[in-house]
Amino acid sequence: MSRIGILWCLALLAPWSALAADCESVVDMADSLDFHKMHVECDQEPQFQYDPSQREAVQPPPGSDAKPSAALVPEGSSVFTVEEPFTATGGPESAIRGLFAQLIERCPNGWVKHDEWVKRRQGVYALYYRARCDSSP
Amino acid sequence: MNKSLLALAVSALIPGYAAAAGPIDGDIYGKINLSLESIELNQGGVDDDTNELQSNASRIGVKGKTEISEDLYVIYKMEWEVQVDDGDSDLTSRNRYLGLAGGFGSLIAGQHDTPHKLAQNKVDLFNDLAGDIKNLLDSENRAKNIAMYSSPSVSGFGLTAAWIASEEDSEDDGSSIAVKYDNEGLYLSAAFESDVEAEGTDSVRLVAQYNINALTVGALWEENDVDGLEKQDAMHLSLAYKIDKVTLKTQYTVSEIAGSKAVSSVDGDEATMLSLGADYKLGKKTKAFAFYTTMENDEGGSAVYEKDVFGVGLEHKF
Repeated sequence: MSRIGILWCLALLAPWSALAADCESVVDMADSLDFHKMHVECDQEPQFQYDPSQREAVQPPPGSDAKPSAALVPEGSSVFTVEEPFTATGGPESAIRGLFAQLIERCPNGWVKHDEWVKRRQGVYALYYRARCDSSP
Repeated sequence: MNKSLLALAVSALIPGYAAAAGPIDGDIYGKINLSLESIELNQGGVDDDTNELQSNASRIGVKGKTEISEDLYVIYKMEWEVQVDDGDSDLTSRNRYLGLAGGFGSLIAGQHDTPHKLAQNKVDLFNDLAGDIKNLLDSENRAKNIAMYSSPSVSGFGLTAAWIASEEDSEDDGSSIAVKYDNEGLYLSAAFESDVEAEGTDSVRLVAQYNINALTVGALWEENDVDGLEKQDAMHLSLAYKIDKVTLKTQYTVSEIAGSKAVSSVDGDEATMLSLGADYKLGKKTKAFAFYTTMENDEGGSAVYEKDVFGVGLEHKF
């Protein structure tokens, strides 16, 4: 596919992409009709599957000085974060392969991914996964 | 956001609340806006001049979401107005809802500003202050018992439609709908509302706002059609110019829509409002501001109403 073709595809996807969201402060977004933007596109908090039996320690956001909360942690499971770098020109595919390699080594029986985000440091991007090993047989 | 702090805050707001099983997935947010104002009022020929400390729609809220399946979320929000100046009528309810959000858009129910009201977007540069356009416009409704659907934004186009239950056998249910285009600094919206402000009252609202580098221009036109009365309309223009941390702003509103303090239901009665002001950005979420607002009617059959307000204030969002 030509570069122009790729750009057209990205442009068509842009309205649906969370990256295109112009995020204001929560109190201002709360006064708009764009509920999806406030609750989903501009919300960087960890997402949880609604399962009362699965309560794990809430890790603080990256860069935060806050300590993890004291919620109950099921025995044998804990939430952790892994990261892999990538460049804008190279794309995230190599980072995804690297993250999967880390997760396979750490959670040979499988895992549940809770959150995903990207940060830029010194011109290089890093892809983060926050996950929990799946302890079920 | 500290989840333990959220649990404590919710417990403080709702006596007897016990933390539910399952993860707490929300945030606390809000803002405090205080202004010190000098008010000169002449109503019906009687002067009433005062100095006041005003809490301008200061509020605290909780909002959150829980993912229940891929790209499907339960969402919620509850907001209360906080009277930071004197504590009177504290914690009155503002917008609140429970709903679902996903690729289909969002669907909520509860108590909320109508699509017609929120179609104004940001053309009101003195929102929540003495120069708020609600002083001269009537259909600024926060509806109870509302169910509302908001579509995804597709190339900047979006639609929001609401049904408002009257919960009375003798009254019609209300409806409010708004379509918008919001892209590349241009915002356009058309809204229609029926039987929300009152039984037999319809309102049409057209809004436009455009950002050109540091300049923002806005306009709003509204027409109200009340059973038994001639149609009444209002026009509003606003202008803002940003210079580094300072935003200079002005707006002018002229209205013959009855229902405000300045405009009676007498045909031909009309009021005007002019506001001038400046905001100074102290930080990412903090600003200082000053404003002057003058409002008067044209004595078209109703008593004289003249109000001048000069204020300075501070706002912080959290």
